[in-house]
Amino acid sequence: MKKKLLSLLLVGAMSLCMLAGCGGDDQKDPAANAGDVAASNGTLTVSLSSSAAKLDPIHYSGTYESQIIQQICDRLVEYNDTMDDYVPSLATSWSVSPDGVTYVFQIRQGVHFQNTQYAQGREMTAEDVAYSLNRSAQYSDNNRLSMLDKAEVTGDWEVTCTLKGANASFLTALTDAGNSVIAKEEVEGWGDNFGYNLSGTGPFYMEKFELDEQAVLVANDEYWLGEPALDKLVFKFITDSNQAANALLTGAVDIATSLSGEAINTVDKAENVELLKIEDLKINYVRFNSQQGPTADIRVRQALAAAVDFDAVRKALYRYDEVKAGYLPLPYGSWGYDASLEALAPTYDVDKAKQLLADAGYADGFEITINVSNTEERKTLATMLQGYWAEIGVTAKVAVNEWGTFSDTVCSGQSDVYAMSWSWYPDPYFFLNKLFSSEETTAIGNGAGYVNDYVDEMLTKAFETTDIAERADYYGKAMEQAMKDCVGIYYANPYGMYGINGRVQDFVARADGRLRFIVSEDGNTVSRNVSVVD
Amino acid sequence: MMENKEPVTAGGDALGMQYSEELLKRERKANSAWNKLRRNKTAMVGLFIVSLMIFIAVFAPLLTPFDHAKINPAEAFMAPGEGGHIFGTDHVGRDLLTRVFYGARVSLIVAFGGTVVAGCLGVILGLVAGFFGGVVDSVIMRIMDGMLAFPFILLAIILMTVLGDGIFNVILAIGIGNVPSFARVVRGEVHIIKNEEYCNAARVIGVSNVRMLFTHILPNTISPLIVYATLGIAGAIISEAALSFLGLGISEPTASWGSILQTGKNWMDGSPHIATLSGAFILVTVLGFNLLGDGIRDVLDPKMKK
Repeated sequence: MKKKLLSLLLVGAMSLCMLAGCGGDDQKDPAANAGDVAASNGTLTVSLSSSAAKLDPIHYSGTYESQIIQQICDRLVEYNDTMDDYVPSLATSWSVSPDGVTYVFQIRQGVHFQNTQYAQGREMTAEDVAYSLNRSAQYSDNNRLSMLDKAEVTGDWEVTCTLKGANASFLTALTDAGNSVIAKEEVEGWGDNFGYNLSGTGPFYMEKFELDEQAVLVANDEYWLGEPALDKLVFKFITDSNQAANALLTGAVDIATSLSGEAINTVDKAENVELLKIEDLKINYVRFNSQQGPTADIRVRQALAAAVDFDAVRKALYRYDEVKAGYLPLPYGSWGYDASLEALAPTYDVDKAKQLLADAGYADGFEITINVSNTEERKTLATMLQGYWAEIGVTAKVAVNEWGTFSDTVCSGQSDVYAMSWSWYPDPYFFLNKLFSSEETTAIGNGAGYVNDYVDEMLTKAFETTDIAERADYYGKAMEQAMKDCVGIYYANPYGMYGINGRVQDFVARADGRLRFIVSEDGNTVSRNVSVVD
Repeated sequence: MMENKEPVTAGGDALGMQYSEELLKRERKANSAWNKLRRNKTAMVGLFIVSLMIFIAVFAPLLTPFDHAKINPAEAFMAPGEGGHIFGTDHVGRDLLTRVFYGARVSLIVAFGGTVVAGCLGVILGLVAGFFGGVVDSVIMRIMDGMLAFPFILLAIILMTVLGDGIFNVILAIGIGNVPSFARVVRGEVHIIKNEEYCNAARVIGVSNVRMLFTHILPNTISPLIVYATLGIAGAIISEAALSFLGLGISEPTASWGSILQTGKNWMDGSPHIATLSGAFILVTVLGFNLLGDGIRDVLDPKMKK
């Protein structure tokens, strides 16, 4: 009898353990560190949804990495908080040649590098700017400054940039964290470890970087724009959204970024925290392989698109109003958005889908693979696509992989169907060129292999022109063609979701998802300086 | 006098013999394994649960009017009882009761299958190791020890990563992961049995090794095996759930308790029924197998005293 009792107890304990496991508790429970963080005043803790690994500006690949880089380094120009104008930063002014090929920047004087091992707080010069831009143009893993031919020092405080051809998106590209200004001796001194010891001219310097754990940044009191109101800025890597929400509620984290699913509800219901919601410059989409497999046939693509009821999908997938319904391969916030093209988006019609498949010679269906990365949102979407496509006789297998494998599969052009999201700047170049240009077929943007001469022509014309209305027109034409060819379904324009503790002051959620803690609207005076009050 | 007495004595004897035969029969019947088990109330509860789950698994398609794979996103996240869904719906609008019933199929098939795989391999290895001893024993058992040195779930994860997902591979992974413990149990038994009188007798009359192993030794290891296997099934159900929970087990749209629990954990606040109901089914089934296994042990092990 004793043994029986014991076994019963064990079973009970086991099931309890299982239930406890459901919470996704992790050894690195952020709550465990709550004490030491909350103790010091002026410390702001931010959770990032993915672990930053590559902090060297030319190597970074994800937004979570750029969040850290841009606190430590500055760029020549910045976007303002409303994303409609450029603000001088390390460049005080600039001029563009009439042909749009040459940009001349006047460099700010009296800016010092952080007092780190090699740069030792010396003054930043035009040489540093030219060095950083040339380095990015040549070595950037993600072609973040590929339009630049060379940057040269043409005066004591002047840098001249010559582009390979006119490109209206150059200034936008300069705001990217990948094009930050860094000191040559730091890069050479640290060698391969430069990323972990990143330094620059920015408002915060790196105190400690622990892989998969956190990055601890300390205020740079000598910052050229002014002293940051925060003493310390800590980025914690919390990949599970529900866990990030819990950390926010316990006070271990002051700002939780990229909240999704249930976490939104949790934060929304909580008392002392606020849910911030902003329309992101981001689209969620499903892309079809245009080069190989059944989806190379436009009728198959149209059939697959018509077989899915995206209104219902959005309702189930985004339970807490996390997205706006989307139709175009551009977010609403982009100046290239053209509402008249919305009519080209596919509509739900199963009979038409079956008919199209029969016309294409696939009346009995076929087998395809849906590739997604391993987030709950994508997995659920894939399950739904699988269910919808089963109704028109298409057997879909779902392949779930971590981001690295997923992006390799997509880049190699091997994926039949894949679902992901894209976010960048308001300039349509950063969406349409990346998604539809024939030059990007080996990159993650156009891994579906869409090649269309007319689209290429429109895209090229668009970045060679400087007039915004004219550019928007070219982009509209490129989009129209791409949408008629049904290479993808752009079903949602997500909101950025932030959970903010009430003690954080002056924080603004931006459409590009960038966290900025000390901001100037004119390049000279501080207009916003995030602080914490207890 | 004698003649007079005879019939009486004879009659009395006959009556006594009849009586004791009856008693013997009754006693034998009462002490049969089944009746012993029947007297064990907790074991009967276990048996009831197990039978119920098997019934559900076998007749799943007849028990609910819904299709387990049919999605209906417009009706996602319905609470239990809403819209004719007794258990509500899951995150893509599938009927949860149907999913859980179909999940019973997968869980039980995997649990039985895994245990059978583990049992067959483990028994053979254990028999050989225990019977031949020496170098053979050392080699086999050290390999088994090596496998045991890995935490089971880690071993299963490695196997799943190598094999890929799918029911058959889950069965294989769980099966292989459980081989060492079966081998140990059998080897221990063989060590004792092979030196029993009847084995020595068999050896003396020149019984071959194979015959010895399979007709004299194996049948006598059955009772600990049955006990171990019954408890092993409970473990296998948990293992399957754990693997599916980690996204390594059965892939969509096939339902399994682990994968339902896995999606459910993302919605613990808004739709707690998804994780709770699938979790409850795992809990109850595992409990059932454990109670039954415990009961069987009490019956089959004469040394066990309450």
